[in-house]
Amino acid sequence: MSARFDLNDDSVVVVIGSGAGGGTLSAALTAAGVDVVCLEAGGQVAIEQDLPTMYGRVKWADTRLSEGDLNPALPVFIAKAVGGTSIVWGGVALRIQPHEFAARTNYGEVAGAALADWPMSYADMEPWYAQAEQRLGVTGTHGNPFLPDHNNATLLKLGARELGYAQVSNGHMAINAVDHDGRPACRQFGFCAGGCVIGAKWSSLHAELPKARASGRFELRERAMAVTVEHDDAGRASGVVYVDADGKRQRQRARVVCLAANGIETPRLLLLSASGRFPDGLANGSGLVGHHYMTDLLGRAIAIMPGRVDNYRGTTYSSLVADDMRHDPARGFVGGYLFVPRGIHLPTYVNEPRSDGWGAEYAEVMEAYPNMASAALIGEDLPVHANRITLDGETLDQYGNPVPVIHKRYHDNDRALMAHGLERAADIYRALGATQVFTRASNTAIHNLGTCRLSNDPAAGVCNAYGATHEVPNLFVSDGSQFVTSGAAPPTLTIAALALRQADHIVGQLRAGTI
Amino acid sequence: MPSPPLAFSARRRLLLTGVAGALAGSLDLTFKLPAAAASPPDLVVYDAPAARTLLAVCRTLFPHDALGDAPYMECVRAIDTAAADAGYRARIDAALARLPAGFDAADQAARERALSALRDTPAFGALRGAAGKLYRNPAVWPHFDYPGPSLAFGGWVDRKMLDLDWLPAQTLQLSEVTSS
Repeated sequence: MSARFDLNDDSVVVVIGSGAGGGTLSAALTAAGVDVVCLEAGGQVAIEQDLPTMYGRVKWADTRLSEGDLNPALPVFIAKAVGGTSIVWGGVALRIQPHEFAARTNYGEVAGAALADWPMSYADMEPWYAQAEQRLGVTGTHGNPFLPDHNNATLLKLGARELGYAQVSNGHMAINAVDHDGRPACRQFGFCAGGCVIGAKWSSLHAELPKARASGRFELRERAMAVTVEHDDAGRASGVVYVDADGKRQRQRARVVCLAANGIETPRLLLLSASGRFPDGLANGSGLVGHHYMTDLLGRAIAIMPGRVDNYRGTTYSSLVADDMRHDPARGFVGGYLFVPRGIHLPTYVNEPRSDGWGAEYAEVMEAYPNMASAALIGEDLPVHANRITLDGETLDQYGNPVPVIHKRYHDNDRALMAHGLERAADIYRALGATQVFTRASNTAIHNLGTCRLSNDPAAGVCNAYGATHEVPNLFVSDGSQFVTSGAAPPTLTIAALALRQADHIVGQLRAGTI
Repeated sequence: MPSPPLAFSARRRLLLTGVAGALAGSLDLTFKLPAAAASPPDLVVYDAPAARTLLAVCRTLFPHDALGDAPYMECVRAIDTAAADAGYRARIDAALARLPAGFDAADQAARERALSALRDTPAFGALRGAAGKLYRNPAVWPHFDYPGPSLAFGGWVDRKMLDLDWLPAQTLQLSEVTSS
């Protein structure tokens, strides 16, 4: 049952964003008896098996400017919808590895990068990862069976084994192989990237928001765009100003405010919340809000095989080649990467082998659609101080606020990692007789990380190890903005684990009366 | 449950003939208009000669000889709809004005050369984007053996998803990488 809270109720926790971070945090807080108001910028979306339609339906389309290597027309693709980007995530649910939590220690100094160790160790995070995996029902963990094989995944695994890879498996997916947590087993529809119509894939929409609602302590306000976090005379967060579905400004008072608006909007909101007391942005005494923006390195390989693949069949990203996730500087770069298969549907295939292909030669590649195999590369992206989110001086959004500018230039290490990985991906398919292989790095980001990094040192990070901002003790960052380094894994499992850990911390602080 | 779309290979020619035949019929109607006529019936901005050029542009960008004109005309229709925006229309018109005389009737290679000259214009991406919508049209899916949504037949879980019968003799067997 949904709850309703008064705008002047200052006993509630306000969570901004209802995606992987905000949804999980809301469900965990309400389960512990905490009242939560969640402000979601988007509305409810219906899910159907049509990827271009779904991308149009969920796309965060507010103006964003780009400076650097990302696509100026579409630097970032994330969702503005109830459930956030978790609606369209792929489901690859992997942990950041032990050595990656201490990247500065293990990689050493890398010129031009702002490497740091996380303020907590892998051992600190392990129980929270275990809890997150159990909650999300991750395949191949805690007794959950793996998802079944299909052609596209099998080709990736087989080619990798031909090349001598050993850590080849059906992967760890937050997609039910069997019924779990009230959600059904996967039907292998093949449309994971547009949202799962039956909720077999874990998402905030299907798994966390229903739990929060059922608690009776949760109010979700849709199409409520947060524009400022306010503070009181003591410098504590006191409420959130937002624009509601009717375009009216509202102020929700709060005991605690948690930002889970994704790695661009979260730092933007802090910068927009500058005040006399916090002239450079709320909780930005370190000057690091918005800095160290990471995207994960995303690459793709499209291979034309000698026979049919029909790779639209089955779970889009299930299976994993993990050998290259290791840190092995002998390869010419620090950090690592992984491969997962990536099913592609005909309507979006036109932009896959090449984003600008056309003509008779390209039409032949299109004709080869049934024989196409494909994989994605995901790799560690180094934090660089100059890669950051800033506010534009001129362009305003529909709410009258400066639009974000995304500054992103890839580090030489990123380029070396990507080149290595794409060559290996091509080799995997050539080993099985591919007649043509197209590889390229993506220039549209889908993971937005690191812009409010964690550190025990208030001069070296925006938040402490629990995501509480150093300067405003009742203001938390609850999404991928917390990441100190990206690791090779996709971020979602870590975002969920951090949310569970943060919820536990907040509940303890509320009970102790310290926030 | 309907038969699995994998059977498309065998049915492909039949389906194509059916689709192409049906589409050719509707296309004839469009182009029986007098050459100098105003807009074809369902276009708002472009007259028949301009529509014919846009059709040739779309066919040049993604040429599939087995497909009739009708699905490409859907792409032209998308351009026509977008051209309600004056800025968009001005970009497209500027690009079309640079195409050589006889573009519509030239062969694919000549038309590709002509379009190459437009590659750096702001219209080119818009034209490519509109022409690329060809692959979103369910009418062309049978040609590519793409079955589309899988919800109606319950997904692939109870059907064949692993049928790599063409693999060369491998040192590895499929069983070594499956059922992990």
